[in-house]
Amino acid sequence: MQAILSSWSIDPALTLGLSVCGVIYVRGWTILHRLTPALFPRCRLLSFLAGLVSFWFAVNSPLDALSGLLLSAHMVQHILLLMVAPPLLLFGSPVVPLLRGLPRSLARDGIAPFLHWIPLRKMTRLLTAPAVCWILMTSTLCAWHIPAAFELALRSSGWHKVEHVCFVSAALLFWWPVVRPFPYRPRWPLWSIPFYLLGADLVNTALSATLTFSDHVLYPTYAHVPQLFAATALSDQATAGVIMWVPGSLAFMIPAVALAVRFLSPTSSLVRPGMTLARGRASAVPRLQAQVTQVSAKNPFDLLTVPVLGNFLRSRLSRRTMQIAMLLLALGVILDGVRGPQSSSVNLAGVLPWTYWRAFVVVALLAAGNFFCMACPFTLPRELGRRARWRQRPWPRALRSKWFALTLLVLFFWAYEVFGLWDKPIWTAWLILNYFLVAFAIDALFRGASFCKYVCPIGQFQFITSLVSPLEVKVRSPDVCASCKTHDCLRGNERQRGCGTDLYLPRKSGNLDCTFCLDCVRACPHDNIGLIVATPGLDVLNDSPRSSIGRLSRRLDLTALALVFVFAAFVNAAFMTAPVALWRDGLAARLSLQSPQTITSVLLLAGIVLVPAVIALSAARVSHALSSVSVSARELLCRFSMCLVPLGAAMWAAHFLFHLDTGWKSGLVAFQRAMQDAGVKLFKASGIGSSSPLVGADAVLVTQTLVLDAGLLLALYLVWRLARVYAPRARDALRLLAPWAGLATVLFGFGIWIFLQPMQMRGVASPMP
Amino acid sequence: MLLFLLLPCHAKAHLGIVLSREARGPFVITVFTSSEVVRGQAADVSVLVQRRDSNEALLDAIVSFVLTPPRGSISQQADPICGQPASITLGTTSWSRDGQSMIAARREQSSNKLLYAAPVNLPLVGAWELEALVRHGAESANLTCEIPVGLPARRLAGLVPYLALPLLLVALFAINQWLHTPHSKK
Repeated sequence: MQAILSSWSIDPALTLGLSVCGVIYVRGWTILHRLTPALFPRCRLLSFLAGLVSFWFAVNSPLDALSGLLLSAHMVQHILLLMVAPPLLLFGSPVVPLLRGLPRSLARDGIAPFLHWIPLRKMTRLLTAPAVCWILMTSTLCAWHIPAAFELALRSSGWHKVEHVCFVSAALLFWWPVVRPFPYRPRWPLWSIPFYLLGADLVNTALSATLTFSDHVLYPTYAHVPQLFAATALSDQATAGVIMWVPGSLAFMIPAVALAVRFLSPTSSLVRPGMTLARGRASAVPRLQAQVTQVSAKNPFDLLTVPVLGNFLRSRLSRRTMQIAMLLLALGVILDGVRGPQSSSVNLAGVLPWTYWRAFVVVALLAAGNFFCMACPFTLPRELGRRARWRQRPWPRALRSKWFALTLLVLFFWAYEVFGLWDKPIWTAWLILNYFLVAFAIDALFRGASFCKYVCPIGQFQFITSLVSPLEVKVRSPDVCASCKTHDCLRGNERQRGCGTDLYLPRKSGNLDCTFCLDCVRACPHDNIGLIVATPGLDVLNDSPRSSIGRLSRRLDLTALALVFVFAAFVNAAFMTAPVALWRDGLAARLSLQSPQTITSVLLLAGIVLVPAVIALSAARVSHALSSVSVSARELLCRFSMCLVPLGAAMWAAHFLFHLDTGWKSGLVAFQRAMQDAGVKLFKASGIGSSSPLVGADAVLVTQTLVLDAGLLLALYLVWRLARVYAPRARDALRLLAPWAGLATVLFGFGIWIFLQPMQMRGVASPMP
Repeated sequence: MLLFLLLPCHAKAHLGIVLSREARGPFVITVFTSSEVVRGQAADVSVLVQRRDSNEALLDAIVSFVLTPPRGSISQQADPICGQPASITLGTTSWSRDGQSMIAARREQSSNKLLYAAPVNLPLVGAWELEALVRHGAESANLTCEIPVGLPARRLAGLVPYLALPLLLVALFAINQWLHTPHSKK
């Protein structure tokens, strides 16, 4: 029994999804309960949450594990999905709270037009007609209990999905006219609903009687599985029939009796469709809408106002602590890279930067912001250089662009692939050591954060990715800045230096060139700068002059950086696939080259420099020719190229998550080995075995696809919004965006192809238990 | 709407299929596998061990699998490019010889805690031989059966819902934009 009770199969995606659903509902319900407590009492909240929990329980609890062995357990699962979760969810009147719980703009601009769309309203009206609901529920129930259909669902996961979707959708529709969730207007009189329920109960009784009294096993799978609890397959089937019969009938009878009592009670009048109840509720709708619109928009979320965390982030000491922690890790990587075994999967220099750090950086950028620049250890030597009090000069004017950093980034991608940096711990160690030296030299000789802004290739990668981050360092109130005369955020003061990358906060937009150092936050005497939530990606639509950056439409260097970032994401992943590796080796053999390095160099540079340049220029020209807008093709190139960044960021994230999944145990192995080499035995002696991924290959593939889906959709949305800026008419906008949308779709298809190929395993090792 | 989107995330074909079920020695041994075992993808192999006399599930047995590749095939152990690590198993391999591998099956690896399971990744198409070895105290038994491994032709098919999602959302967005225009009001 203990084994059965511990057989939970918790699905993270489902649990997360239901939690999000619950959070949205609670948010909406809280607002509505404050406005109209009579319409949204606490019982609605409890009911909805109970519905979610029962739904979750049905598919995650030991019931699911047992339902393959016992038909009776399977039947309990179906009862929960058909007769418990749906009415509880509907009793929570979920439509209005869920809409109110969504972000305002999404509900107003995204969903409201559909709610007013006449064909959809007609279809909803048809589907919620009681007769249709009754027929759908009873036919679904009958169809899926036919042995062939039931067996199909038992054997095939695909058909099992179809079965569950059918059950839940039919049940939600069936219970709709019974529960009448606000703002539903009843179509049948109240007296008819008990008959509606009794009719369904008759069908349920017929099915359950068939199961209970059958003299043979109806579903052959249950005759072949092992029998538990000394029960035979036939007795299990009879128990399932009784479960369907008794609790199933009660689920129909209890509401039927309750409604009949309500109808017959002296306080209730003869309710005709669309009258009393509906009229009362209908009058509540406009009143509610008016009240909801009166709720003023709140200030956007500011991470620095969160208790404890906000103070932690503001503190100079906490940043220093993070940097020192990263510095220690970097020193560990350097030492192990130089002295440890030159096998990447067991060396800290092979595992920490290439398996963990890259993945965490991209995930942090997409989930929050540029926090890894905040904790960057390379900027610590800058402080030493500044303390040396050498004469610091301004960064040479000729180099004040991204071209130099972009060249270094391209060189880095080239070296990574051609020399296999991921598999050469000593090279990784030297690379990091040189990074420290260069950062020290540049920041000791030049003013501000010249290294971050004009040199650091990692920084450029993170600046571009942070265009899709949901947090931004931003002024809280522009009015306060308008009256500020000192501009401490830029110039600094006696207590705190100003922005090292020359960003003047009132004219700063987005995250470009922002290292999240928060020096501006500490310098501002008005406490007017926060870490404020922003819609990911929308910043690329803004072409107003930015402090220290100018207009995006005039920055070819930024355009080139964005294009290299996007195309490198796909090329870097493609080089790891078996077909590309085989093709490259075959080509090298045909050309009689001893090593494929030359071919790799040519292909890589073509893939991340030449091809993007040619394709983006062509797309800009075609776009210009098709739409005949009055701006130059160069401006179109600069602005539309930035819209592809979300797709590139998604590809990098999907790629790095794959490595993190397959090599997630490698860190422990490398750390264990490094400690043993240093004479410190923290763990029992162990060997290195085959690695088991954190999640299965199928789940990784689905996650990668969903991440790339999100990237494509955001890129297409940005392209559309930008096209509407230049072409207010939809037809012109479509012509303008067609080449860019086509390019994004082709890249997406290429990404999916890459995911489906066998991938080279990099840095994989795991301890033997 | 959200529920419908989430439902397919979870539903699976219960325990998979019963590969073999026989009374051996003092036990009744049942071997299950995922409903479709394809080359190069993780699949679950699990075993239920019951007492022959009482049908009681044994929870403290020692269970392991010996997997033998299809006859005439050669396991590509050293292939550096593959969908999973170069070993044929994802579980804990006790030994590996001539393409054969022995894997320990554990209850902790199964979502149904009555079963002993091991995730395996079989790199070759064909009929693999699976020998389930069961030991409980001084008693032991074994059961041999075949696992048919097919080609991974359905990998892309499994992605269809996730590839259709952008299309669906783009279509909904297009309708949304059309509904914002004055034409839609006519």
